Amino acid sequence: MLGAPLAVLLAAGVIVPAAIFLAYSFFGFSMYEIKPGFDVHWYRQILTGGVYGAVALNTLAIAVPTTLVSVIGGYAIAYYIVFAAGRSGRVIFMLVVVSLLASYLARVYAWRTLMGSEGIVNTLLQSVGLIDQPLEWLLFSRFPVILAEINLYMPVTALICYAGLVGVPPDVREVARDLGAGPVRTLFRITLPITGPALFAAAALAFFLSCGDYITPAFLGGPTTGQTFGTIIANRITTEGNYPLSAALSFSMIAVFAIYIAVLFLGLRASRLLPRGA
Amino acid sequence: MPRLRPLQIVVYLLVAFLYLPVIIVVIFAFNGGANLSWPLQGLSFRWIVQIFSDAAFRSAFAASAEASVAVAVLSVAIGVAAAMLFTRSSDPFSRSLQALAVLPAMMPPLFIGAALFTTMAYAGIAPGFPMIVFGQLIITIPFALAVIVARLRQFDIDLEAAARDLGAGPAQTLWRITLPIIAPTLVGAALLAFAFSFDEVMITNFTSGMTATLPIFIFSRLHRTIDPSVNAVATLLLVMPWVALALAAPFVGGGRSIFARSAATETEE
Repeated sequence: MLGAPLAVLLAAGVIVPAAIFLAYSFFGFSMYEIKPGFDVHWYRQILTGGVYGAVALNTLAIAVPTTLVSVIGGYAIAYYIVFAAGRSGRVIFMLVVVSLLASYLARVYAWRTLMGSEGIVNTLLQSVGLIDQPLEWLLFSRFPVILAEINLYMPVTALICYAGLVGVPPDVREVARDLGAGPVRTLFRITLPITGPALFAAAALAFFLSCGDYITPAFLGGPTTGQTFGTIIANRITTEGNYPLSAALSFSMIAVFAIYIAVLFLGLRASRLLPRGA
Repeated sequence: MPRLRPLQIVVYLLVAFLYLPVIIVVIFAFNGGANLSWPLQGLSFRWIVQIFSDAAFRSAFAASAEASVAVAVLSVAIGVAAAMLFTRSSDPFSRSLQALAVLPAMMPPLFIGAALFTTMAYAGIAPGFPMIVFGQLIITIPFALAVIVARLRQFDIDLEAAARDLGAGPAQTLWRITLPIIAPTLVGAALLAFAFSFDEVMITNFTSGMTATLPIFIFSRLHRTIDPSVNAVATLLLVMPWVALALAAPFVGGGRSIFARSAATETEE
């Protein structure tokens, strides 16, 4: 039974916990006690908005710009490596991989040092005379959260785009150029559509990673801008033991993922970046 | 190609941006002053010395090292067993298990951690060292498995058949033929698992309880305070996976030569 250890690990570590978590999302919770049962009231509460509506909007306000910049930046890096860099492409590729393997937590933490009111950016800007007062919004706001998440997830999108761009046959691009298409036109009409699936994968993954990140917003966000689906799920479960609410929020987040995937797919297809019937 | 200059500038800036936080952490780990501001106040090892004199840090460092070694060894053991099945059998169990094995890599770690936390509460399992290892294994396995399966797909299965013909049992064939040949890949997979495990915080936050690993140690210290010694801890956190991967590189290179040698002897015969 060579597969038995793996099967046990997957069952005990992922499948059974997911099933129990799903069951908990229908349980009640009051006075710090869990009330087993079957009730959709958490989902109703999440759907009808209130406080979770604001949290959902904040989550999106972080995840959407993070995804956009990560994908565009990652595509630019990958495009440069594959088509423009020549021999230095290998060095840039290695730099991207090594940065991906750099400590997640260290890379989040660094923005505290950089962006604080007495941090490097503020002291530097003040000494140059560009500002008189420290810019308070540089830390504990949405801005550093987005910046840090782009920093974390752009290497991932770059590698996915790289995998897509390596597969573009060079003669297809040459033919387009020979037929009179400029570099921009070749990019938009030939290269981007061929790498549509990679764009799709990169945009999906960056969004998932951002939504599921409960540490960056907690470290760098403010009192309200630091509250995302991720931080609420992690906090409610660890501080007050409200497993049912966290479970319902988690499965709602997965529903949001499904909607996002559908919108992304249709959007890319409408802009002719994904072939029909793919 | 002068037209490409703007792209080149953008890409160089983006790569610089990727390294900005890494560089900041390392620089401030060796900053002499207690303020995290520019300019630096001289070079010093005071923060490195300070963290190593802190008992809480030392126990977190030890816990991280022990957990990561355990995760690395178990990832490879479970990975080799499963990879042998995947590359030698295509029955429905093997195929469905292989499909399921990528699942943890596609699920948000927050979801895995929170579901595991709920299950532990439900089943009355206490958090602590064994659960830290278990939780990290869930996410290192898909990567270790991918590396080992890729290697075994290139493995010349006739070598095993030859060993069997010469009278070796299955265990002896595995131990004397298969494992030595793929050993460099296994070292690489172990170091990869070590690197992922050492820095893991998203799941470990739910499984650690009172046992702090290094990332949890940093995490617990960061609630709205700025502490310069954290840069020193973060630098260690940065360096350990890089060291692990740098160590992995020559092993994988050596693997090719071992494989080449065995292939050469094969053709000679």
